[in-house]
Amino acid sequence: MSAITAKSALALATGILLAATLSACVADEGGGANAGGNTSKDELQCGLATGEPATGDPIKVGAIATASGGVDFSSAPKAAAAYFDCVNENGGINGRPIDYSYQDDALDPTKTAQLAAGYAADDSVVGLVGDATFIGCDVANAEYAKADLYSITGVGVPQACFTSSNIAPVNAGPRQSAIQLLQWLEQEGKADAVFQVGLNTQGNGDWVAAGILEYAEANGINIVGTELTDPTETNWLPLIQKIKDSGATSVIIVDPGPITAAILAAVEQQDARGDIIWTCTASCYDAQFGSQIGAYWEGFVANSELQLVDADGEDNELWKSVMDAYAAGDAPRDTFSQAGFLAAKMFTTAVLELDPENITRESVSQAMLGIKNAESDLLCRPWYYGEADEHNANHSTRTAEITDGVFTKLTDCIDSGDPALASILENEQSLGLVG
Amino acid sequence: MILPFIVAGLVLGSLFALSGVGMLVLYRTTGVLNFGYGALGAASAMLAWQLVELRLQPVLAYAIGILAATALSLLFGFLAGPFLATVNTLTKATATLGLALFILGIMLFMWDDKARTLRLPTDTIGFSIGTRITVTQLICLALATAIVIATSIYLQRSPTGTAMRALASDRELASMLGIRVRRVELLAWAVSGALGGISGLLLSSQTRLEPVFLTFIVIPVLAAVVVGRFRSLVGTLVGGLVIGVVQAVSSAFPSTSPFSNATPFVVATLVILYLQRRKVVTIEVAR
Repeated sequence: MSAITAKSALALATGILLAATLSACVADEGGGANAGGNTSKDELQCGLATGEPATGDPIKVGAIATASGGVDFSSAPKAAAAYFDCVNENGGINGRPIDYSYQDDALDPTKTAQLAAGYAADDSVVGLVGDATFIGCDVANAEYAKADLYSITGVGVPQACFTSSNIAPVNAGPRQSAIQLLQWLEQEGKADAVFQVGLNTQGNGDWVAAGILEYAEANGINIVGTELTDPTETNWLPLIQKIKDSGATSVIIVDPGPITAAILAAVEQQDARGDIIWTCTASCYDAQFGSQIGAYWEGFVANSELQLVDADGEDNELWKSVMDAYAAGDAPRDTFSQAGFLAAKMFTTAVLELDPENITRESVSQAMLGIKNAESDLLCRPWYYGEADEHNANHSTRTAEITDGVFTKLTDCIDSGDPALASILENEQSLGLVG
Repeated sequence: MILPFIVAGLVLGSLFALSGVGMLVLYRTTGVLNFGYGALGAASAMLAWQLVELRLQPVLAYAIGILAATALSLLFGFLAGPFLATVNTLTKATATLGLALFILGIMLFMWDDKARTLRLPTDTIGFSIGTRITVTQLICLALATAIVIATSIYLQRSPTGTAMRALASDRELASMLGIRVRRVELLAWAVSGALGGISGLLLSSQTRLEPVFLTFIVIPVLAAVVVGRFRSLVGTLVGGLVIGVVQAVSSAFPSTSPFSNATPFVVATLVILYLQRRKVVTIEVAR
């Protein structure tokens, strides 16, 4: 009797579990709903655009991305892979296909260092494209520098990704994203009393917060409060109270999307939005964000480090169509994806200039370093690599606001006024990297 | 103004207590301290969110979420129970870490790291008494208290409750007396899973809907169970509420705010020290 009961209980449990799993397997539609391309697969202009598959000796290209461990940045290398597939179908690099793959560092810097050392030691790897490691830029750069290996990184977040000799990110980074929100508030005349919220993480949260303070000081803006919280914080009441008490007219949030959503939910619960302008850096610019935070947050402002995903434009259209033709249906169509695509496209353009018989790490490194004045409608200003100890070519971004639950364009490009960019701007001019 | 902090602390504390009761029922019946408890709640919340996104009736989605947590807990109890019964408490607890990591792995595989919120219809209904209180928060408080009282009465009065308590004191003896040990244990796994599912849903609405975050919320919950000395349901309720309120109120003052997240550990340590105050400490010397 008791055995039968236990068996039926198991059957019931398994049945429910199965049903639950099946229903949860349906693709997450929020991520890719509003970005679809209009170009058919055989009309895509990738690389040489010959329409003939490349059959020569493969050229090995790698990448390191954080794809698991609680953070998933893999949409950058996934988009790079889609573009390279398209290039390989269209003549490759003068007949030679690109053999591209990325590895997951699982949010573990030791693993990043191992993977980086692996790429550095493998002479057949000519370059790295579309990387997106959340934690390992510093350790990876140390390995690359020893081996004369260079990366056109898709997405960089911590400071180390922008102060490395062999890593150049396509995105602008959280510091530029935050400062440009402040500049937007200034333009709108809403920067009388600004409150900033972020994380107390070293080499990331503190670096962004310092950026806001430096810009504010240089431009006479009153920052009425800076609150850097622990990434595990749950109680947002003290923060809301401090914002209220500070008399802030606007708030800049520099937190990952999920934390920002939790803060906004707490503000809604307290009905504390008031007349304050609430803004968030590019970490919130995501197709799903608007519907998740709900109707209370109509008019919420976020920064976008590249072109808005639903905008027109030659490269944006190519990105969407390449993703439709060569990437998985549920691969995210987000800013990181655009960044990975653009990294792959710029790499392809540079390597196509080389003699196909002489594609080595040395020649490819020279070609990558030589990228300058690379224009794209995904960017605001031309991108470049150049020999330097710091790389932050993308320092001009756009602003979007939530209308009917989705992000729509608010302003066009704003050039960063970050005082710390002085040396980068000087290099741009003296080395003729732009214009 | 300290009132909003007390209210927020009571709400969060009541959720710690609600989870704590679920952990305690299982521990007292089977001797298993389930570290996978937070993961069960997280799975319930993530599944409910996914179903709501797929335009399922929210109430139905929540019910399926809770059912899934119940089923997962029952399944683990069914498969691992017989083995766990033969090993010591520490090994039992360690085995549940496997459950936690397994569920967490599946969740991280199925859902990316984008922002999500679980919006309960009761979130938008509220009233103000110096601070805004929503119906969801009232439900949290009422549910925790009601479940503590109901479980206490059930364990005291009902035959199953008596059987559960008998199992807790001596499993062998209980089975010799004709108690269907497996059945009672599976019931405890199911009840514990259901409570985990319910608290997972409420916690995700009051804190953050993230698999990793919700999985590790088992730590303050464990602190509440420690305050209840792994025995007392009322003690667990009080423990949860104290931890919640101390944490929230200490976050209100700049001088104590940076330390507020250490509250569960501080409270648990103080309780353990207090309980050990007259025990003889023996120090074994390794040869």
